[in-house]
Amino acid sequence: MAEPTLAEKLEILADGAKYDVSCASSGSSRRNKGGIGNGAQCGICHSWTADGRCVSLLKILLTNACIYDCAYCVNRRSNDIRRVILTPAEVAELTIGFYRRNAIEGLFLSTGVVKDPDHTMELLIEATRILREEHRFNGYIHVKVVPGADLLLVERLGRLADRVSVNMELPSRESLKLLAPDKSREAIVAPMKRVGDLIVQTKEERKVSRKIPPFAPAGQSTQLIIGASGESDLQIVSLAAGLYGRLAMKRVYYSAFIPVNIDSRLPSVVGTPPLVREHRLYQADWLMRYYGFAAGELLDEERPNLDLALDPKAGWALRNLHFFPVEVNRAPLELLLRVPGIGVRSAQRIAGARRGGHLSLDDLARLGVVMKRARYFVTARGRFAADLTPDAAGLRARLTERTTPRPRWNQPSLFDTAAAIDIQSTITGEL
Amino acid sequence: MILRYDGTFAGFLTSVSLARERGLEPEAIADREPEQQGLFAAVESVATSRDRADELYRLIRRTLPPSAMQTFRYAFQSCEPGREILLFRYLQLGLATGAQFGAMLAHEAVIPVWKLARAVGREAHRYKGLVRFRQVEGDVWYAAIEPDHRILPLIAPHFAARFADQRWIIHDPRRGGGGRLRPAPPKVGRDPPGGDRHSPLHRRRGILPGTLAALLSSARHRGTPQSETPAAEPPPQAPAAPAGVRAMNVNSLFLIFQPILVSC
Repeated sequence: MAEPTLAEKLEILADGAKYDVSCASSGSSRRNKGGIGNGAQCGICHSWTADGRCVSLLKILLTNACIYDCAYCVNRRSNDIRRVILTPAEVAELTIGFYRRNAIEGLFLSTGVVKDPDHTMELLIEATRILREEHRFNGYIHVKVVPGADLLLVERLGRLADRVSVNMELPSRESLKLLAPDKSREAIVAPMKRVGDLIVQTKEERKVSRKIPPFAPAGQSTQLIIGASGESDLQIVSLAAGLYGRLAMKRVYYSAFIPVNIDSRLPSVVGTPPLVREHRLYQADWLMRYYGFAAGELLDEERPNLDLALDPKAGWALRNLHFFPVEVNRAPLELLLRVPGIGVRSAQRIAGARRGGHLSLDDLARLGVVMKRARYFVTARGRFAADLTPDAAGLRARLTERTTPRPRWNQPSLFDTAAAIDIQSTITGEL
Repeated sequence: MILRYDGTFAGFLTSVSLARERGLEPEAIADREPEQQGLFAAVESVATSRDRADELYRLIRRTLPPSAMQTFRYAFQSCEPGREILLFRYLQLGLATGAQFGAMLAHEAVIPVWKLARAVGREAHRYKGLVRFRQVEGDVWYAAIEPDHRILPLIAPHFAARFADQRWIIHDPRRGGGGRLRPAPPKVGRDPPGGDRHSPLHRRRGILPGTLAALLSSARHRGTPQSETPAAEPPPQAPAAPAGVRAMNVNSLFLIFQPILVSC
């Protein structure tokens, strides 16, 4: 077969990277020091997929060749697919090319494992180094850590990248052993721990001297595959809570299992991937990180799985009716955050606006509160807006009325020069 | 009373200052001829006065909390019809209440202006991702955008910082008019600017002929000699003069071109 062109390689390797769902570009404010690029603290979307997911980074594999044979992975050794590899310089060149057109916010670099983990890591580090030192690129870079690589290499990578991540892949040791026999839990957790320690340590050191180079300033993340193995949501959410707490994890991504291989070890999936479950897990994740919920409040041994028909916040409210209705003019911020229909921003706006005067129900709607949900759970100046009180039997049915199936997963094209503007209004909730 | 101003920030402030002096709320403040005239309202053309604008601007800066100041500034960049009278009421309330103004988020004079500012802010943020440059002759990166609101001054500093080593132009061809060139440092100024300099990005002024070709050659002449890489795509058609609102950078100094009449 003829040597593939750069465009062909890009096509194959960008397609191979789509199973990593992380695409965040936020959390780094790296300055542009006489070169090209900088980090935008809030993250920037550069295009959107058909189902409304934001595309921020050039997501690509260094190579799709791999010495491992993980059951769920499209690039496993035993699959008969075309294998290509980019040189580190090619990765850097591609990134800069897209970046100069403002098509991307940065690079997401993952890879199959060639030769051995250390060699593969050295290639990743080299690509990142060329970007930072030769192209003087100060934009966002997220690089995967290869499990089992030397921890000194992990450290070198973290000094160059904005975010590093080691994929946990499967929520339990047993599933990992079954589905990814070449990877051990230890090989995954060791670099995670090292990264976590270095993040904390470097932050402390940088308080003393800003001259110390940052270590993964946008933190570390990881990914769990949902639905390829039998763990309950309780196990997954507890695992995530532990990662946030102990390993200075910034984000845990949940990826609904999409069968790409036929394998007796994998569940036979009928119909669409468990996207609703994935969505509910993200909601639970947000509740833990921004709304002050503990894992144990959302799930317990008796109800180990999230309700697919009802979001976890409304579910918690219905199980804890003694808190409601909440008087918005008096309730503390922590309680406002727990009201279905009130998000972080509207809670803050309520807290700000009520200093200027007593709020009415109409004011709430104007401030951006989703009264369709919140009206069952709040009073304003003692008035209640809904026809059903929180303890009414029909409320659960009322809150679950609307269930829209989410469209199928789709990898966006990076090659469209014309950005799709018409779909934005429906999908940009964030400033 | 209907006040007609020239579309600039200074012109708007002059109109507000006049209305405040007379103690009247105008029926409308607009930068174009109203489509329907009220029976008794006379249209009065406001001559932009830098002194009046400066005086009012300083008062606003002194009185409004910073968050309200930002809301006001963003909302002015909106192209929503009728924005001026909403901004007028917003200012009147803000100037009357001072420090308490920051907590009046649910007030009927505040909500619509907050919504304008939010729409402008969202569009500005979105365009940070949606601008697509292409390489045109002379190693200049060119992008044309057609935003709903006047967001160019809000996004230009972002691109100036990010593409400091790249010569670029962002062009808003829809908002036409004569071209004016204002070089500015890529920092948002804090001083009360006057007249046309009211946009925080504008400090000094110069004048440049308005065609894109002239822009390109100007950018070319300021830079270092270029490598001979031919542009992958054909250069864009130079729009017929007068061209629209543009921002560009020349060796990390970025310029905002705005027509004298910055109308929507």
